[in-house]
Amino acid sequence: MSVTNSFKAVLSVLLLALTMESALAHGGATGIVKERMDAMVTMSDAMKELTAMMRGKVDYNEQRVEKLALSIAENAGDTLLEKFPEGSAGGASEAEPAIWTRWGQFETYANELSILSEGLAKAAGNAGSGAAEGGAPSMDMTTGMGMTAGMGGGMMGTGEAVQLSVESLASQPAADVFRQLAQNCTGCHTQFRKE
Amino acid sequence: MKKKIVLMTLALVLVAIAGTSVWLFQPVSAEADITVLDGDPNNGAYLARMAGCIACHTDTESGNGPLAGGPELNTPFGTFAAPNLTQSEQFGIGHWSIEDFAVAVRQGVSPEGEPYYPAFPYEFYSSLSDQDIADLWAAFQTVPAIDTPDPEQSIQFPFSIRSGVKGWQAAFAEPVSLEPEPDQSEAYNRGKYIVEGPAHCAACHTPRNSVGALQVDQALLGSTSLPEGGSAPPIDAASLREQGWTQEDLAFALQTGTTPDGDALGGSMGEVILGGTQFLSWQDLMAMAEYLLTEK
Repeated sequence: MSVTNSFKAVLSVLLLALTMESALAHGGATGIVKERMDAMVTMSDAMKELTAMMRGKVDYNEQRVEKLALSIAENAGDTLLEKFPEGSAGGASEAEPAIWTRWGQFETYANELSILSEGLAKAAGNAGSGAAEGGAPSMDMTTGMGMTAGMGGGMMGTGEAVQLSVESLASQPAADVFRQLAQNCTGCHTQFRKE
Repeated sequence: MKKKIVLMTLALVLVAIAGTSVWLFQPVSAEADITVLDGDPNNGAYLARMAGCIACHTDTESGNGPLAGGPELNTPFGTFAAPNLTQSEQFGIGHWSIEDFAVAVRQGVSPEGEPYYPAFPYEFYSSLSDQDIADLWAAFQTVPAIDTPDPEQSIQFPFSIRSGVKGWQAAFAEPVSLEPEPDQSEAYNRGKYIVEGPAHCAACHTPRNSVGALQVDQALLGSTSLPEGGSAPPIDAASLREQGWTQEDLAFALQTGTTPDGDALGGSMGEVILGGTQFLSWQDLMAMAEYLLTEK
């Protein structure tokens, strides 16, 4: 074997190793799992920029908030649900099998994400800090944030669903809509993403 | 002479074993030393959120209802499940007195005199004031009764010998100090009270030894032995600063679960946030963050 051929062989092995490493860096995901991971990355990138704006780390830009909110909306609802066909857990996927045993709850999160992100796009013009940064929250025991309030909503799988609508969100401060949107992500990850 | 010494030593050892056994197997006679009896249910509900009562004693998946008992927690010591804390006379705490409640929460002893397993983080509640207890008690009175029996616990031998917990309590259950530090800001001291006390961050973020005792010399440095094989990252000031967390970032993460890089926290931290810290005032969240980010 000539020196050139040896060099080529070594190079091939190196290149192959690099390719494999790159595949591993993406968790080795392929097909539908890769598709939904990419969608999650898109949403997470949007959340990163939105968080920075909502927290005043960068200047608030109404058009940008609307655009980012819509990029989440595009990946929410049915579009999100379609990326989770039954039996697509395991391997590189971080999806909990509970998604398919409690599909109704998963569906509620996906659909509420759609409403909340569209609502945020419409509320983008309502800048300023939201109610959640005011004084101590009301702790009334039957309404508001009492002992058991907020525990019977649709997200908890008990009782009636929280009635969200794009119209009502559109008139709320953007920061408040964003907070609900962020909590939707956390709720879904808590129940359905492997940690 | 030699024989006599051996016999005497043996007798002493037997007396010691007998004494320890009597001590271990006797019900704990914990006195409730509580003077404040008028509680504010709103403050109590706020404290119950902060302390994780609702997050841990509610099984969101079973749909049994708020505080009717938590999901199973698989630990190296066996499977635990938080019991029913509703006003159910038969299955909950409907038949308890405020004194029973005070002893259970601050001393980790049941009305029957049995020690609670430290899966119930009473160490962190030991410094709650009489007013805090009265407020919590008032709040629990408003929880509708749900007649669901407690889930079965399956604890491995030798941990299944409940009286052994008494020895554990004596050896390891260190009451936390919530004393304000005069040279620190008001927000720092409020944050210290929340983080070290009711919010019991150390329960998960401080490593434990082989018998489940907190390794206080490694406070908040992270743990890899959480129930269900989970782990908790370090949240000491140096680690948080190294990762670029600011006070606002932390407060916002505790309110929404969103990290500065746009990820949404899940797992048991998600439960803590959604069942607990999301309900805290922005001021309190900022106070927690100030305390966590201050080098001790």
